[in-house]
Amino acid sequence: MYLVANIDIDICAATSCKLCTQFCPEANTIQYDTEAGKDRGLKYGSAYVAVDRCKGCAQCVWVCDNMAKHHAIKMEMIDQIGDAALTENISYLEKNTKVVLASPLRG
Amino acid sequence: MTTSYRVMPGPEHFLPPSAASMGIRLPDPGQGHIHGSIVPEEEALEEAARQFLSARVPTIFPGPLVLWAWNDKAAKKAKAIRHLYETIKECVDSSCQQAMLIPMPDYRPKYPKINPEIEINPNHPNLTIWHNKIDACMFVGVHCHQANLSLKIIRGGTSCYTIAMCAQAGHEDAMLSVRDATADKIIRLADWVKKLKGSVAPPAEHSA
Amino acid sequence: MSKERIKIAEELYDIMPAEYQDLVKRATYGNEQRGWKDIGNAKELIEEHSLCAGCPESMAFRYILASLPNPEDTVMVGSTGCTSLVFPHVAVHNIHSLFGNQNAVASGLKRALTVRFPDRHKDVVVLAGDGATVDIGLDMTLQAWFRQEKFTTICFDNELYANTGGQESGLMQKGFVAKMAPVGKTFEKVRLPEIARESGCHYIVNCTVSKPNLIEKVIKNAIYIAREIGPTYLQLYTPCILEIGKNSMEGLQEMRDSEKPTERFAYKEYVSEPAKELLAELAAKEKERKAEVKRQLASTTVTV
Repeated sequence: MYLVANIDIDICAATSCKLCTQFCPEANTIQYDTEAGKDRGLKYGSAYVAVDRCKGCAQCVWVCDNMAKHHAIKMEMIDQIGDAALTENISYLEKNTKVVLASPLRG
Repeated sequence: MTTSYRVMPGPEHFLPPSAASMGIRLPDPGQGHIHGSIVPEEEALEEAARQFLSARVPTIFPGPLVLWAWNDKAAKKAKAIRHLYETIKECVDSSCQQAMLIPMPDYRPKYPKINPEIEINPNHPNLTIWHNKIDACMFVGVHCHQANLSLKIIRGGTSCYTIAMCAQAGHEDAMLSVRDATADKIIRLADWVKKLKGSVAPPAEHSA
Repeated sequence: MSKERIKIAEELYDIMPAEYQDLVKRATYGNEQRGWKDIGNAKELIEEHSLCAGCPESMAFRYILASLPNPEDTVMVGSTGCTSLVFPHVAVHNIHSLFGNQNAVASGLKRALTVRFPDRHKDVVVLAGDGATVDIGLDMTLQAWFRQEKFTTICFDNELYANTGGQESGLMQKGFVAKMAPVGKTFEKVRLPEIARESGCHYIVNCTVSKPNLIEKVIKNAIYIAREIGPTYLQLYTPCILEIGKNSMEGLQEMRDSEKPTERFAYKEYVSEPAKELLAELAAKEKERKAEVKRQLASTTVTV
């Protein structure tokens, strides 16, 4: 198994800084969903990680811990994060993205 | 120049020679070739239709020149290709045959890998052919160099019958090739498929 | 514009893999206001690539591709190096020729495009590493500037030959010891931004890629000035984390450290007089556009 970034929606949606999205070296990997967590009464949307594209560099963890100081991102084993975002389940809307979470372990 | 070499379904070996280097020449306008022998175009179209009808998984691989509507001609060809695919689907025996239409959207060595169920890549076309158990395929709208590369890899590592519907001078590395492809010519091939429906034996139940 | 040609044939649309459909539908081609803010919400013009995990060069690629003012009418010219691992996965026209001749290729290309499309802006952007720009291709780089060729040259400066294991390059800092340069560099880092100024470049920036908004600004300025006036040059620090012995998450910190006022990548900018006038003109237009948007917004809210 290997490590991928995992974002805690509860912490992320409380502040919505989007810094990890900006500084992730991979394209279309940390995306933003303005509606995530709204049904749970959270204030903003949240970032999420397309785990199939994540190379596990942990730059986002550094950014969240040291620049944003939110500590919302942790590196976790892919088989222990439960349902996650995969590129094939992301749809691009007018000014937002939407994702259906699914198990990252296939086959 | 005469040659005894024939462009036959493989697997030939790891690095098959280019058919041109073995003395196979390209057809003139109005002609096609089957296994490297020059024949009239109509005969080549008929044989292509037979191959489609007798294959277990007859497949069309449209390339970027037809997938992208970059001019009216390309849009027309795309329409003709869809028509050909629908015709093949209609004319084969759905209990033992499955027609497929798989795109080759571009030529980049895709990182980290392609999904062989939905696309084919010219750098390793064998993956898609193995995965879907394709035994007859037609290339259309693929640039010459990438088509030759792919056709050779397919001949080297698979037993797939390759047909090249070429917009230029034809492909000697395919087992069957027609040159100067237009939308009309693709529709003519569809007509042949319709005409031969029922007269070609479907693939035997247990053959490879 | 060329955006109309980025279209999938209707009959074959359904069989195209999703990333190409997204690229046509949700990428920012044709959007004049495109910039780094689209990152995270829109489809980017770069796909999965084979650069190392955490490579700052891939950040630079993301920002540059998000900031090109009209990507559908842009041709990028690359050179040998890590950048050539990314270019196949970029949805902008690009050329890869020999190691070092990128500025010569771009010169011919820009002239041909000007003749072929006299009524359209066709941008040419050279993007090469420091080895291609300063060592192997210095001749072509300088000659293109002397001739006042109208395109932008971007140098990804990682201060060594990273792709081949860490050999010394002209832009390496004095005294630096690399894996394949064990003695340490004996002379100073080549002062290419100053050479560029003396060679006739109209807009020169030396900085790191730690700030996406800054990169967007300098890329747009460089391209607009190259369109109208003459050559422009950007030297961007994209450290190779492997060759300088950092961890994958330390690239950003390395760039932030190197851009402190006393460091070698402190923000430095040179703008020639005609370029200053052009930038002032563009700024005035932008101000006018924003005011217009505001007026329209105000009028719609009143009517509603």
